[in-house]
Amino acid sequence: MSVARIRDAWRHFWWGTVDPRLPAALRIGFALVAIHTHLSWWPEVDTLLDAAGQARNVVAPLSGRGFSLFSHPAVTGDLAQWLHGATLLPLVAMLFGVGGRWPVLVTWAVVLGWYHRAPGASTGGDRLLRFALLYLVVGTTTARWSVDAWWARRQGRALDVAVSALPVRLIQVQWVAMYLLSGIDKARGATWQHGTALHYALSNRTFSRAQALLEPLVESPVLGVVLMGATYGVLAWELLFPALVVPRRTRWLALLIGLLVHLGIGLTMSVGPFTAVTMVGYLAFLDRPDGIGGRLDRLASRVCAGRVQSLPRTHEHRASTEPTPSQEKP
Amino acid sequence: MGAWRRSITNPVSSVAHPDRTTAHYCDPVAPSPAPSWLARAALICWLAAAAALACEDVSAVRPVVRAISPLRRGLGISQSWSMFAPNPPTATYWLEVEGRHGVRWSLLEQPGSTPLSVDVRWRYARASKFGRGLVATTAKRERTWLGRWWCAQDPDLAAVRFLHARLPSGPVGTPVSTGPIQRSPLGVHRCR
Repeated sequence: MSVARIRDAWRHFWWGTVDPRLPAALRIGFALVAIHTHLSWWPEVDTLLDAAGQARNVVAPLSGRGFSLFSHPAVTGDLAQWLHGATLLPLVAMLFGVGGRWPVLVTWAVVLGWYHRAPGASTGGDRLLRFALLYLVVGTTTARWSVDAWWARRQGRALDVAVSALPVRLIQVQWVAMYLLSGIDKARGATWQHGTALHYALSNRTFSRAQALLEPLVESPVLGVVLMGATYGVLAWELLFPALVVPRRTRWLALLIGLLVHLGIGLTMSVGPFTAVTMVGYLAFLDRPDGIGGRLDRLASRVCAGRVQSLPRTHEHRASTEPTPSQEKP
Repeated sequence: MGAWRRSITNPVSSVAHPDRTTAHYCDPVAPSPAPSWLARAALICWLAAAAALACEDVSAVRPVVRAISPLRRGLGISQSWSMFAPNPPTATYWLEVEGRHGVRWSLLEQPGSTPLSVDVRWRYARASKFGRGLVATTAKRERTWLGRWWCAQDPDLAAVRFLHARLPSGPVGTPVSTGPIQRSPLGVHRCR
């Protein structure tokens, strides 16, 4: 492959465009995860976020951290509760797509603030959520399925018909890197090599959702064989994820196995927002119009077909200078 | 599918969406404007930093990782994805905190320190994760700070001590372990 073709492929991959519904779906999905995570923090505000909570002394002296409104000594008691409530607003604004990228940026700052306040209580799922939000900030996520888009249409302003692919690509690469790095790390472990890793993961009562339901699974020698097979399967899937997800023909397989693995983790273990974040990130791999975007569009079209068709056609791409066949239609 | 791909690669062509049912959705996809040099350089720097963080165990990369460690801490962008890796824990473990009033030690209600008493776990307990982090031998300084917090809560406390409690998991095919719980001391913090 010539240097020019590599350069073109690089540019096409990172700086190309995607259907605006894809970043919009990611925005909605990650906003829902952020809201759920926010609500799950609420019972532990006193312990961990409150300026007088246990994390006060543990966190504050650590260098490079402490960027959080909760770090201010005055934010304690009711004020801490109110502040936590107030930080829900940008998350809701992000969900509904109000104010462009600003709510996404503030949501990222809110999620980052939890980490700065109590890094010892932060999980891998929180980190993945921070990455995803940061990536969404660099793109346009409100061109569809948002209050912004609804308002623009109402005002007769143009809507983007294609938006930067950069956030989608960054999420894709981050997810691939996460599985590959995790798989390489696991492959070094004796329990993964011996096929007992899932047995020990499910036996651990720190994570188990319902111990009574899991006990028969980890005690039975027959099911132990199933768990052994699943252990090797998960390891192989993580290591092969990049090879499976890049070609379109096998992408569905990588994502289907991922859904089953993460649903299995989510149903049996309490591991924080990891399950939800990873599954929402899978939307980034559905970058084709006949995927989830097409189905949601058909649904949306059925709901508001009459009203939408009655509106004047005003959405032309800002970079487009020539009318397209579709634009010429009334 | 093929038509959509052609619309990406050929900026002149415009292809109607196969699911087209309304005027407002499903427009042809056009190329993005050429990115600025600043954006291109920022992307390269970001990918290089992520790659360095992913390979932080490699000795040749360590100087780079050290240089960008403020960025890693500040933005929380570590690329270590070691959940249940290289091995899941082979024991349920937690931090126990005891306080001394006079000569008698009694258990303090450290949040997240009772994993065995939870039958159904609907919500992820972050306090439990916070406590498990303080069990590490390298977390001596953090335990001291937690000790100070407990001393501030109760002026009658003379000392606080920390215990690493663990319940080992049984091997495959054996009944789930219910005890005995092993406890090892992690240190004592004197309140005054």
